[in-house]
Amino acid sequence: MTAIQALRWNPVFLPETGVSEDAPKMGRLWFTYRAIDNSLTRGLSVVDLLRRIEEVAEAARVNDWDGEGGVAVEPSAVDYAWLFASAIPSHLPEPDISVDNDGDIAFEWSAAPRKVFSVSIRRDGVIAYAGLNGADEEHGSSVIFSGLPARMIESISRVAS
Amino acid sequence: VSLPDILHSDEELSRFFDESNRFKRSTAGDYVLPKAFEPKFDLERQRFETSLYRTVDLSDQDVWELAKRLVEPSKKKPTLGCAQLQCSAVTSNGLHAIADEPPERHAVIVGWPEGDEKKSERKSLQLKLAAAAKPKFVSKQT
Repeated sequence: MTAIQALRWNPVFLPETGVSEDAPKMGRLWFTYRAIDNSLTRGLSVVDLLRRIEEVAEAARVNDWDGEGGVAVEPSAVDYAWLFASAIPSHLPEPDISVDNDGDIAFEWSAAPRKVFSVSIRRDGVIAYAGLNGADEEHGSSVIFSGLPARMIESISRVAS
Repeated sequence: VSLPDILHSDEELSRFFDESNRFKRSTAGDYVLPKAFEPKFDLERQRFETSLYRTVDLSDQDVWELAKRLVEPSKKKPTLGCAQLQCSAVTSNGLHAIADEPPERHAVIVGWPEGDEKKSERKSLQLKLAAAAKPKFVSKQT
């Protein structure tokens, strides 16, 4: 069992996001809190996101799941999607979650045709993202280490507002 | 009706969808989501393509009949609607729409950046195509 697989069954193994001596403890507390938090008043529910990831992955677990040659989702893509989902700040609205035809797991926020931010999580943890906010465009790639890049959180906040 | 091989810039193109994550219904106006234009890699042709249909000069009724006849048999799902855009929206983003018959009226968007490392560029293009498109939904009577 990999560390990421272990995370799915034991949330205390979340990779740390801080550097101080207390950071590991805080990270574990934070994830445990997020994982059990199912309160509607706090907006986004991690538990719901994780459940949704499992649902879309299950529907795409064999090749040609979409009748158009779609590549099956690999367990590692689900693991990384879990990591990504658990790091989404709770003040953001819930994204739409789906599977790309190459087996990546996609998260998408949209408020209007030109207010969209889309992220795809690959089986090796690489994330490809693109955003459109009015006349502003951005796209790029990153790797999931710990948490979401601050710039990405800002971009999602802007398009989802 | 035989359409010319070369697509005209103001020609209307329709990308049919059968999943609800291809569009969003909103009180401020319905719109198309980027997922609607997701390209798939064609192993035979070794390129990314987005499949669509040339619906120029077709009534709404004709458009849905086309979907029923040519799209639904392979998808095995009812069509919910389509994302419509002009050919110029494709070319203005550095992509190309080319005729690809059979089946009749079929076309593909090609010219997508290739390779895993270019996925974010493809996503960016999907966002722009979706923003340029308008959704049209199958009416319940159809």
